[in-house]
Amino acid sequence: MAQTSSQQVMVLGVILALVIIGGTFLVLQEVRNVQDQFTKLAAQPPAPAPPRTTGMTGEVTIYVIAQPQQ
Amino acid sequence: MVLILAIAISVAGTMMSWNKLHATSTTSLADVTGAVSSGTGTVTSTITNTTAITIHQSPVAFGSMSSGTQDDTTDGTPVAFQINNTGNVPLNVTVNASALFSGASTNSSSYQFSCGADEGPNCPTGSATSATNMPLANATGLNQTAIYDFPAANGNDSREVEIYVSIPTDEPGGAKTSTVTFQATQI
Repeated sequence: MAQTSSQQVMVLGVILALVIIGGTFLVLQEVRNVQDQFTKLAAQPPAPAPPRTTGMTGEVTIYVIAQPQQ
Repeated sequence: MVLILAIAISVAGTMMSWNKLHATSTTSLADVTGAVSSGTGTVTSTITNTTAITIHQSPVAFGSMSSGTQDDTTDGTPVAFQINNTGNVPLNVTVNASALFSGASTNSSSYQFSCGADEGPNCPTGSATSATNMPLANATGLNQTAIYDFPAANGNDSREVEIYVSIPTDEPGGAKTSTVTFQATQI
């Protein structure tokens, strides 16, 4: 009975250790991801200055009536 | 024994997580602004200057005209170019155009422009307030100022560019088209 109980505690302990190791690994992975994102953000070059000039075109149209030759 | 090992791993894991978080907060986050560090916080932002115009009336169509006659847009017929400052900074607007006429008697005053009021007050000094000869080359070096100190504020951000034409007496008949280039520069 005492041996069974000891074995159960051992199994539970192993499971607990695996859960803790797995959880720690996942947390570290996530922290590393966040850290990488902030590093990339900080390393981004400043946005280029917007252009100071712009242009557009329009049209002027006329129909010149042909004059008879004098 | 296993329990002690689990506790040791847990403590080590916690320490590693804390170390990583600490490193993140003291190095990577150093360039990130906007966080509240005390009871009050300051958020700063930069509004980008935008240089933009639109033309609401094009083409300016004079219709059929005989040689030797004149017309302009100051009476609203045809309707002048209506230029809108759609950016958020004051602008100087310059103009040039391709040739409209080809007759031998064409001179520099055959094709002219001026600044006209639309929204807001009249065109300020520095604008082309009277009929000005149109620079006839699509080269920016030959630009003439049409609208000077053109505001961006709503209700005062629209001006007209009037067009004046005087048909040369020897102008051949047919359809004539000129492309007018407006260039807006942030002041």
